[in-house]
Amino acid sequence: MTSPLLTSEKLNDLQRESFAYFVNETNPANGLIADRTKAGTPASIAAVGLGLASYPVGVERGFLTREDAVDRTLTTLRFLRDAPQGKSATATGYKGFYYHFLDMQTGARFGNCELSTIDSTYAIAGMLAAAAYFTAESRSEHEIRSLADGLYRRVDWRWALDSGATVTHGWKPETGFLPDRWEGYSEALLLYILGLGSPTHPLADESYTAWTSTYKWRKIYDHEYLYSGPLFTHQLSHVWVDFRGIADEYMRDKCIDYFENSRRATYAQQQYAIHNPGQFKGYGKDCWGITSSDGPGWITCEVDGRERHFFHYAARGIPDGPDDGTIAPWAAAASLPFAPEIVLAALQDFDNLKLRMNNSYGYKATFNPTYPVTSAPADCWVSPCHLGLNQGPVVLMIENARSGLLWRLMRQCPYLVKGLHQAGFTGGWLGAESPRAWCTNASEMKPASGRAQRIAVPSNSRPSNEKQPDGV
Amino acid sequence: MLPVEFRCCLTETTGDLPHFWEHTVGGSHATMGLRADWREQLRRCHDELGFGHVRFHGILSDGMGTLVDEQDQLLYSFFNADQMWDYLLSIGMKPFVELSFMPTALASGKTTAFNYQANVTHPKENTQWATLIHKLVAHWVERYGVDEIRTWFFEVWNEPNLKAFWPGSQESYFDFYRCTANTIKQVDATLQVGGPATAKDGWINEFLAFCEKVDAPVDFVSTHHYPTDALGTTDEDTETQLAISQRSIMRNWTQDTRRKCRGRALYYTEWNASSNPRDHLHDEPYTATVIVKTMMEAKGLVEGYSYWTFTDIFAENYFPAQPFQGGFGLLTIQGVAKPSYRAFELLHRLGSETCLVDGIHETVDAWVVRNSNAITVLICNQALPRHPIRTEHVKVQLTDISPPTDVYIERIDDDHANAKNAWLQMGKPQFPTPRQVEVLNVASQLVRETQTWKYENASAWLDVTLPPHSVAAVTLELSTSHHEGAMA
Repeated sequence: MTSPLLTSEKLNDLQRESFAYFVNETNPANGLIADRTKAGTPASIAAVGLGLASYPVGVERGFLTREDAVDRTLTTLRFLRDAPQGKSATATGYKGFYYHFLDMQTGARFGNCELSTIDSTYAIAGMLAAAAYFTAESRSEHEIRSLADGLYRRVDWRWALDSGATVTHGWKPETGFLPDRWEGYSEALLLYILGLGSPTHPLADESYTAWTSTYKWRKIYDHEYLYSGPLFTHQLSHVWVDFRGIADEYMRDKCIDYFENSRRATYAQQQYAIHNPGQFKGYGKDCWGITSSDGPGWITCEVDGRERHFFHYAARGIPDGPDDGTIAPWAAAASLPFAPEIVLAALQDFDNLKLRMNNSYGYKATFNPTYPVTSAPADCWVSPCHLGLNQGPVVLMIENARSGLLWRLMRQCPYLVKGLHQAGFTGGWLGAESPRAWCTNASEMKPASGRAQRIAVPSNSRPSNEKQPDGV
Repeated sequence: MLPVEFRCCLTETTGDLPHFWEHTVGGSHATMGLRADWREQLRRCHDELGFGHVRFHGILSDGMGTLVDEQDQLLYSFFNADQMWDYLLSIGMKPFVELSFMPTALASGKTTAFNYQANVTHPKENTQWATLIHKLVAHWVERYGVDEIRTWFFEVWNEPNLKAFWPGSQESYFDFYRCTANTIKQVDATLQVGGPATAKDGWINEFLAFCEKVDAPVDFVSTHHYPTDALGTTDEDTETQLAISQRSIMRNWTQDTRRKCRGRALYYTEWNASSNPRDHLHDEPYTATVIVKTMMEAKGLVEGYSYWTFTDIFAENYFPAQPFQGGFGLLTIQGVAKPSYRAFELLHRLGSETCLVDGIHETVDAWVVRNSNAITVLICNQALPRHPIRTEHVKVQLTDISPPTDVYIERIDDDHANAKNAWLQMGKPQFPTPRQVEVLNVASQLVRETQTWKYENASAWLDVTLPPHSVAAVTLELSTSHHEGAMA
C-alpha cells in the first residue's frame, strides 16, 4: 500500500520517449509509419492513425514544431488520398478502407495481409483528430481539414457489413470478407461510432444494437463490468472518445459509462495479478498489464520444476487467459486516465525493473519474468521490438490524463458526435440533443450552440521547462 | 515538480447538480433528540448546511415510551415522538422515519443492541406490530395532515442483514417489511415506504424480487455503506481496512446498487468516512476530502446521501467526554465545527450546474460548478491512508468566461478550518472552558482569502497549492450584466 508513484517529470519523459517513435520510424516521403522497430518491417495503417493523432500532442508538448507536424500530416494525407484503392495488387486499400500492413515505400498491400476494418478505423480517427487540431486559416492547415474530410467520406462502412448486421473484421481480394465479425465488447466501439457518423456510407442503426446485443457483463474479483479479456480492448476507443458521463442504452441500464467500465477493467487486471492464479513470476499489485501482444515464442519448457507453455502473438487476457506470464507495460500506461493511482505505481515498478533502460522509445512491447533467460538488462525476457500500435496509446492516453487534448478535439468533431447520437449516447457533454438535431450535410453541421467551435490554445499554456526531444 | 493541470470550458456543461447530500442527515437515536443541545445543533445544520430531513434509530424503542406493557395492558403514548416531529417541523425540517426498534412489549426475544438496550428481535405477533404502526402513522396523519406526511419517508428497520440488528432470517425480515409497508399504505396509499435499510449495500436484488413476487409496496430503496466495507476481513483495524480499499470505491458501489434498484429512488441512509465510531480521521481534514469527493462522484446516482451523523452528541456505546475523540459527528459535543462540517458548508454553497473538467490525477480532483452569478472551482487532494500523497501545485484554466469581479479561496487543510489542530495546540483540554470553545470555534471557520488570477482572451487562470488531504474552493464572482451579455 505504500508503493511509490512515478513522478510527473518521469511521466513526461515516458511520453516524450514514446512519441519519438513517430518522429523516427516514419518514412518522410509518404508519412507511413513502421509497424515495429525491425529491419524490413511493413508500415501499419493503425500506427499511421496513432501517429496522426500524436502529432498534435507533440506540438503541444514541444516535442516537435507545428510546422513539422503540419508537413508530416499533409504528406501522409496526400499520399493516402492519391494511393490507389481497388482490387489491384498495388492498391493501398479498397472502398476507403486500408490493408493492415503496407509496404513502407510504395504503400502497396504487404504480402497477403487482410484489409482491416479496425485498423482502418484508427487511421480515420487519427485523420479526424488532425483535422480538429489544425484549424488555422493557412493554406496548409485548410488542406489538412479538407483531405481528412474527404478520406473519411470515402469509407464505405456499409459495404463492410457484407449484408449482415455486424461489421466484418475485414476483406481479402482473393477470398472476400473474413468470416469473423466484430461481436462481443472490444476496441471496435470506435468503429461502430465512426461508421454510424458517416455522411456518405453510414452503418444502419441496427448495426449498433446488433453489436451491443453480443455484450457480456461479468463479475471478476468483485468488479462487475462489461467484459473483454485483453486490456487494450478497454482503451483504444477511449484514445479518441471522451466517454465520461455519456452512455448508450446498454450502459444507462448498467448505471455506469464506458469510462467507468475501463476503470473497473483496469482494477480487475490488478486483482488478477495479485491473485496470480497461474503463479507467474513478478505478478503483483504493481506488475500487471495483460493484453494482446507478442510473447517469447511457441515454446514449452520446464521452469522451476513446472512445465510452462509460452506463446508468440496471442490475445492474452484476464481472468480466463490465455496467459503465459507476458506483461505489456504500455497497456498499463494506457490505463492512466482510468486509474492513475495504480497505474503510476506500476510504471514506477517497471522503472525499477529497468524496462526503459537503453530503449530510446520508452517501453519495449512486452516482458516476461517467468521465461528463463541467461542474461538481459532487465533480468528477464524482453521483447526485441517497439510497436507503433503500442507507442501511440502511451503518448495519447498520458495526454488525455494530463490535459484531455484528444478528448477536447474530438468533442468538436461533428462526425463523431453524430455517430454517438446515432448509437444512442446521451448525457454528460453530449447533453440531450436528439439525433434529428443534426443535419446530414457536413457543411451545415455545427456543434451545439454556445459551444466553442475551436479550442483556443493560449501561447503560454505550454510548461516553460519543456525540453526539446532528442533527435528532433 | 510539474503542476497538475485542469481545464474547463464554461460553456461545456454536463447537467444539473441536485444537492442530494442535503436531503437527509443522520442523528444518533431518538431520546438524544429530546435534548436541547442536540436540537440546537440540528437547527444550525439545517440553517447553515441545508439539511432537509433527519434520520435516527429508536423512535419506537422503550426509552421513547411509545408502547409499554403495563400489567398485561398495552399502553400507547406518542407524546415524545410528537415532541420530536413538532420540533423538526418548527425549524423547517422533516423526519426520514426509521421504524425501529422493537418495543419490549411486542418483542419475541431479549436480544438488544447499544447501551440504550434497543430490542432487535422480531415481533411475537405481526398483528400487534401492525396495530402499533397503523395507530402511530394514522395519529401523525391526523396531527400533521396527510399532505405533510406524504413528504416523509418511512424506512423499515435498520441493517437487518447484520445479526446484531436482526437475529432472524432474511425471509423473516422480508415478511416483516411486507406487513409494515402494507400497514402504512392502509393509512394512505401514497405514503412513501421503503427498505431494506441494509448494511454494505446488501440484499437489494433479493429484497426487490421478494416485493415484486408478493406485490409488496416499495417506493424507494435504502441501504448503507462505508469505505471500510471494502475487500478484506473485518478483523483488520480501521486504517488497514481503508488502506486495502480503492479510490472511488463508494462510487463503484453506488453505481452497482443503482443498477439493482431498477429505476426506483435510492437513498443511502448511512455513510461516513469509516464505520468506526471512534476514528480519529472523523475529526480531521481527511474526512472533508472524503465528503467532497464522494458527494461529487454520486451525481446522478442517488436521491439522498445521509451522513452519519451531524453531531457527536451520540451515545450508542457510551457518551463521549472530550471534544475530539473520533466521533461520527460534523460537530463536537460543544458544537465546534469539524473540517467535515466545513466540507458540507462548501457543498451547500455550490451552484446547480456542473461543467466538464479535463485533467485526471492520482490524488487531485477538480470540479467546476456554476450558477448565474458565480463559478466555484472545487478541488481536493485525497488518498486513502498509507497511500502516497504529496503537496500539489494545481493550475486551473477556465475558458469562455467573462471577467470575474472578485475571486477568493476558502480552504480546509491542516492549517485551515481545522479546530482539532487548535485543540492539540492548546494542550488537548478534556473539558474546554467556554473561552476555549470560542477559540476553537474561530479556528474552525472557513476564511475567505484573496485568490490571485489572470484573465486574458475570455480565459481565467488560477494557481492553487493543495497540501495532502485538503480541500480548496475558489469562487469567481461574475457581474450579472456581463454574464447575461456573455450568454447572449
